[in-house]
Amino acid sequence: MHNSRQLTLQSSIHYFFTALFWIPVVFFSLLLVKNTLPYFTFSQGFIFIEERALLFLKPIYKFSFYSHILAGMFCIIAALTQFSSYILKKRKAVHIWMGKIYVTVVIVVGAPTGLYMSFFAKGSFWERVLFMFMAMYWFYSTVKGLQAIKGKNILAHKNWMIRSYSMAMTAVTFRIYHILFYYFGVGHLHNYEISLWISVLGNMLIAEYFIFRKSRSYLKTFTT
Amino acid sequence: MKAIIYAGIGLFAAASVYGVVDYYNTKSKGTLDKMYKEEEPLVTVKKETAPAPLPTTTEIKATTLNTTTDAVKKESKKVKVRRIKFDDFSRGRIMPEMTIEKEIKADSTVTTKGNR
Repeated sequence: MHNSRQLTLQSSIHYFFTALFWIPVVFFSLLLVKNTLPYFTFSQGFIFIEERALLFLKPIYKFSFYSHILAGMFCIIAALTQFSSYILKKRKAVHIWMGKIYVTVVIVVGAPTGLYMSFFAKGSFWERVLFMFMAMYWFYSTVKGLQAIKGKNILAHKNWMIRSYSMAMTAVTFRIYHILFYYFGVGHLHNYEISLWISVLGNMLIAEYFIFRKSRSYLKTFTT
Repeated sequence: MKAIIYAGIGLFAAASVYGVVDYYNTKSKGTLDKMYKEEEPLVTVKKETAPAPLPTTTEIKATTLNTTTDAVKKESKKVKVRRIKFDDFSRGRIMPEMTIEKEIKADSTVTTKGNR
C-alpha cells in the first residue's frame, strides 16, 4: 500500500514537472508562430524590417529571410509533436511524417538561409560567429539525428534530435530573455547580444542536461 | 533521405560561399556598419507657450532670480513607459508603448497635516 502510494506520488510529481516544462514551451512556440504570420503580408512596416531596411534591398537577403521564417514556423510546429510519448506509441505515422517535414525543412531551408543571414547579423563580430555556429550545429545535429534513425539507433536519434530542437528553440528563448532584459531597463543592443548568448548557450546546456540524465555513458552520445 | 542530405550540404556550402563573397563586397563598399538603424535619443520637449511682450529693464532685474525655477517649471519631459505586449515577442527592437508628460516642479516640498 505504502509502495503504491509512493509510486502515485512520484508519477504525480513527474506529470507536474512535465506540464511545468511543456506548457510554457507550447504557449511561447504558438505565440512565435502567431507573431510570424503577419510578416507574410510582405509589408515593410515591421520594426524588425525597418531596422534592416538596407539589408532588405538585397533580393537574396529578402528571399532568405522569408524562407527562414517560414521554415522556422514549420519546424516549431512539427517539433512540438515529436516529443510526445503518446504520439510516438499510438500515432507513429504522425511522428514519422512530422519528423520528415522537420528534417527536410531544417536541412534544405532553415539552416542554409540562417547561415547566409548570419554574415549580416546584428551585433559585433562575435554575434555573427555565434549565428554561424548556430546554423552549423542545427544542420549537423539534424543530419546526425536522421542518420541515427536510418541506422535504427533510437537512443542516438533521440539525443541528436534533442540537440537539434534546442537550436530551433533559441528563437523562442531569445525572445523571452529579450523581453525580460528590456523590462529591467537594459539598452537595446546590449539586450540583443546578452539575450542571444544566453539563449544559445542556455539551450545547449539544457539539452545536454536532458541527454546526460538519460544516458548512462554520456560522452559516447557525441560519437554515436 | 540521402538526396535531402546532399541537397542540404550543397545549399549549405552555397550559402557559406555566397555569404563570404557578399560580406566582403558589402565591407569593401563601406556599408557594412550602416546596415542597422541607429538608436534614437530620448527626446525632451519643452511646452510651447504664447510669446510674451518684451519686458522692460526693471522687469528683467526683478525676474532674474526666478528665471531658473520658472524655466524648470515650464519644462515637461517625455517618459518612455515599458509595457510588454504579445507583439513584442519578436527579434525586433521593443518600442515603448506610450510617452507621458510629467511636469517637473521646482519646489516639490509640500507640508501636510495629518488627520487626527
